Amino acid sequence: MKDKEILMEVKDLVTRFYTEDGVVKALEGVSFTLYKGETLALVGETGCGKSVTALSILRLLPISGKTLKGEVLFYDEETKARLKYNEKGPIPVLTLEPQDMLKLRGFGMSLITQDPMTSLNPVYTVGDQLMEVIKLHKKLPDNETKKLALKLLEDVELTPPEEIFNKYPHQLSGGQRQRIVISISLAAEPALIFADEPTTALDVTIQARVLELMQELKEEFQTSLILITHNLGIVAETSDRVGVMYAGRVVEVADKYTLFNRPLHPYTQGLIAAVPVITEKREELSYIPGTVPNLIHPPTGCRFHPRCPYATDICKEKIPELKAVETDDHFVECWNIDAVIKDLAEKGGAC
Amino acid sequence: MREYIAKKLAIAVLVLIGVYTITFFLTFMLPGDPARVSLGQHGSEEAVELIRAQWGLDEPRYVQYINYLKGFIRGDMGVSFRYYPREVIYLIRYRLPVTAYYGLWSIIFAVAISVPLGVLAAYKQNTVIDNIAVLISQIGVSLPNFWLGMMLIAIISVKLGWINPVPDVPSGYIWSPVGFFASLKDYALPIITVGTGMMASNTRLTRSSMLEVVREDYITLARSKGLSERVVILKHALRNALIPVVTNVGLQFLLLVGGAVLTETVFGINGIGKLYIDAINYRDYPVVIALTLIYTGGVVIINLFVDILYSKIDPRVSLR
Amino acid sequence: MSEIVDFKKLEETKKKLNRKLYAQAALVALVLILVRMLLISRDNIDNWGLRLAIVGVYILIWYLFLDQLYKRWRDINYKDERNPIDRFVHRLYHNKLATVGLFIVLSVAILALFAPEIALYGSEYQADWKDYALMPPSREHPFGTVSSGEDLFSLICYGSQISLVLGIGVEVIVAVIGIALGVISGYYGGAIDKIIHYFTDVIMSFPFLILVIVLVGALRANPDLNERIIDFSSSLGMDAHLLMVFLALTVFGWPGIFRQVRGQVFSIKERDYVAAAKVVGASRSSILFRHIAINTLGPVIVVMTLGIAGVILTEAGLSFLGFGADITTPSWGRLLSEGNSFVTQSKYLYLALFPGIALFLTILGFTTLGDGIRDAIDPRLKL
Repeated sequence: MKDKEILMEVKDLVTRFYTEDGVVKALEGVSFTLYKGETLALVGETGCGKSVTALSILRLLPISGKTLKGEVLFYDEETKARLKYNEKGPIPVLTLEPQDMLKLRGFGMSLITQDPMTSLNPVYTVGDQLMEVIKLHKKLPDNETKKLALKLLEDVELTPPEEIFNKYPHQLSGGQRQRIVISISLAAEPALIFADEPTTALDVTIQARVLELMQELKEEFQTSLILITHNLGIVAETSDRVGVMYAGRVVEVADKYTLFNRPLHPYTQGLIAAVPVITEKREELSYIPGTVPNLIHPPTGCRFHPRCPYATDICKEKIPELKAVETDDHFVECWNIDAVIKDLAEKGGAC
Repeated sequence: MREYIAKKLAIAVLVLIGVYTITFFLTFMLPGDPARVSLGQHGSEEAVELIRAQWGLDEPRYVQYINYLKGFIRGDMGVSFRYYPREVIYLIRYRLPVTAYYGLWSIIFAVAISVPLGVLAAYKQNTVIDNIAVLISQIGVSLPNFWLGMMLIAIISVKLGWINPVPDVPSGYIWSPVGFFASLKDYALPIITVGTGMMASNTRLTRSSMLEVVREDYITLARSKGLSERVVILKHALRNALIPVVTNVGLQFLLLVGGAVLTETVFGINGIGKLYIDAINYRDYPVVIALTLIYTGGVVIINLFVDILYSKIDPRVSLR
Repeated sequence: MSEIVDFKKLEETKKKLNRKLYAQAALVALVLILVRMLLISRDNIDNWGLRLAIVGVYILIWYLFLDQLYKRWRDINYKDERNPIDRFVHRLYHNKLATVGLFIVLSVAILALFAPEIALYGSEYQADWKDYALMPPSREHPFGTVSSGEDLFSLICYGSQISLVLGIGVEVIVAVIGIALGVISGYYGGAIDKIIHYFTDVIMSFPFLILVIVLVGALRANPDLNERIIDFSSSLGMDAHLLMVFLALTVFGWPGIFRQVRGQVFSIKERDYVAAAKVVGASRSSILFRHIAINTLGPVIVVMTLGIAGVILTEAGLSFLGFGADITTPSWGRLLSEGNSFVTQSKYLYLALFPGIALFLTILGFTTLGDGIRDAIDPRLKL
């Protein structure tokens, strides 16, 4: 894996939400690395912080949220040029000035939101909303802008593009609207796209096609993709590497095959085990005991310890750090990783 | 679109006839004979009879009902009993400009302040500006406007002597290009009196509407494109947020009527409001009926206008 | 974790305890009310200061009683859980503006309930008061006197009764009608809905002002009609013209609540838990009342509170114009119309100032309270 270039490094992101019921410690030190051209899936249950991570990096948190600590290092050369960033090394996203952040968004990184029914402004045409991005980041003469917009609509399989261009969001179906959102995210040819559960709100029949489409476009536009999802099936289909999140931390990172065949973090193991396999014979569904922790009053130390079969005293006191285990690109954070590995060996390797 | 207007107008006519009927018979419930009232106690019986005949009051009710309606459709609103032989139209033409002037300016005042203030308050939520805006609008909405008028007179006119309480400008002048702005000073107090309540309610609505809109997904998406906050707020958020505000402003046109009556009583302005109250007190039936019909007609037109405007702003709305 | 809880027995015990509590509470309330009616009155206690003090103590006793009642009720019914009433109250207190509103509303309510005791002078007009006409504020008359010689402060106290009785009376009736019609119209839909809706449209486009003015005007000068209605209304303790205003406000008030409720019923009736109730076989009326009506209650209370503010304002406006309360009724609006005649003379400013402040504060109280309740019921986090 040495010839893979790093596109972005996220280090120790801490984000909190200040609400009426208390302070929600949504992200408690999220770290991962993203390489150029890959699809990284961020998996986890609802509420584990996947979307918050994307919003924190893009600095689009709602008013009640604040990113208190952390670093986001962005290595894209084109973005550096656009921001006139002359220093050597990556762009420190979290400390950028607001004007620079505006140039970064859309051009360096973009976002595909979850619910297509509410992601588009109802009072403007779809074409208008698409051209906005183009006009913002590409200095093209007017007719070229429209041509590009129409081409993008074709790319996302919305035909005939002229007709769709003049329609309002409420005149389009969910699948069509999501394609519009995808085209918007691609329009300025960003280096990185955050896709927040892009197919969750779509009909099953359309999901597959949209995912395929995203893959194709990603290749064509040479973008890296961070795919946020809770659906392991999608992860298996579309990702290169996977990051597993639990209660505000990334607990395991590995390439797809390793993660499914040899998950090392107890949570990941529980997750994979919980997926029912039709070809196997089982009496009961397996599940992880306990419930997702309350993020206003999270458990001390490792947040998984109340539900973890390997928990020991140190787990209650200190949060473990993400470390490379077994190979130099399989990362796990667990104090008792040796015990886990020993167990695996005894049970006979894979899950 | 045309079908829609036609349909609405057809319904409007029905409503108008209904209102006309009810008003007609209600006014006749008012005891006291208009002829007698106008002649006073000393008029002789024959004189009263003469006048009654002249005014058509001696005919059976339903005949009067139809006669007046026929006349009205032709544009003849009859002759005022009180100001005989002045025609009702004449009276209205003389006084409507006055009421319309300060009424229009009140709405301009209200909207011009409330929309920016509401947007600003929402944008800077929970800061000093927001808190002040919320406080002002709470107070403005609760302030009885006739009392506000009285206090304004007491403080600004009487104690400080800045402005004359009763505006003394000929109605021809105030609608002339120069007079339209120059008369503002004279009418400042009535305008503030009527406009404050409207301004307050609009500010609240704009603010809460903006707060809701700004939390929508499409705003996040708009920001993720790299659009500046100013564009996001003014282009994406505002248009959506203004939708309920438009309806509210339409409503306020209608409330102007009640406001006019009260304000003109406080300030002694010779406008439509005062005309109305006096007409009722003096049993001036033609004026009462004519003004009621005009008011109801105005309601219909304004509602229609608001509906059309609504459909222009929000493409999801289609006129059925 | 597995402690077998006998829910049926628990429910029964709860019911028994509740019944006992209600019985005790009713008894105490009855005693307190008797005390008020028999002991605390102008006739019994001459000294104004002493009266005020006793009223204060009485109110304190009521507060302690209600507080105890609530705590005991909560212990029986919501022992370890966070109950919705607590949360609601907590949110309300958090909102400073709403708390002020609540305080004002309670003060006005107390003023209205104890008006004869708090006022300096009685409500019976005494002939020799004429000599004290139009006197500016002094020790004997802290707000001055009006043209008939009556003490303005006392008039304002009695005026609070008018405003509150009208406000609450109208809104309660309007709510009953509005909810009933709204639920029926919303639930059944179809022809019934269209008819009722048409009616409301007609009412809403009718010029309200005229109806009231004409009604009152007609009444005033028509002797026979007047007689009968005056008799009827004095039996209710109200002046006839005010009664007309009351009726008119009721007639024009219910469309507002009706629309609100109808809209909500439409959205609720599609929701899953109603379908669930139907599947289980709940009868139509039970669905109507339990599920749907209960859920519309929250916003309806908000609309009602704001409605009370509106009624008070409208009545004041009408009385101001001379189409509401007459000379014998101390409506704040009527007091203001007197103030209006003198507004250009600073000497008599107090005539307009004090009733106006009372009116303004009362309306402010209800509007802020209404908004506060709305935010407390549905906190869409306006942080």
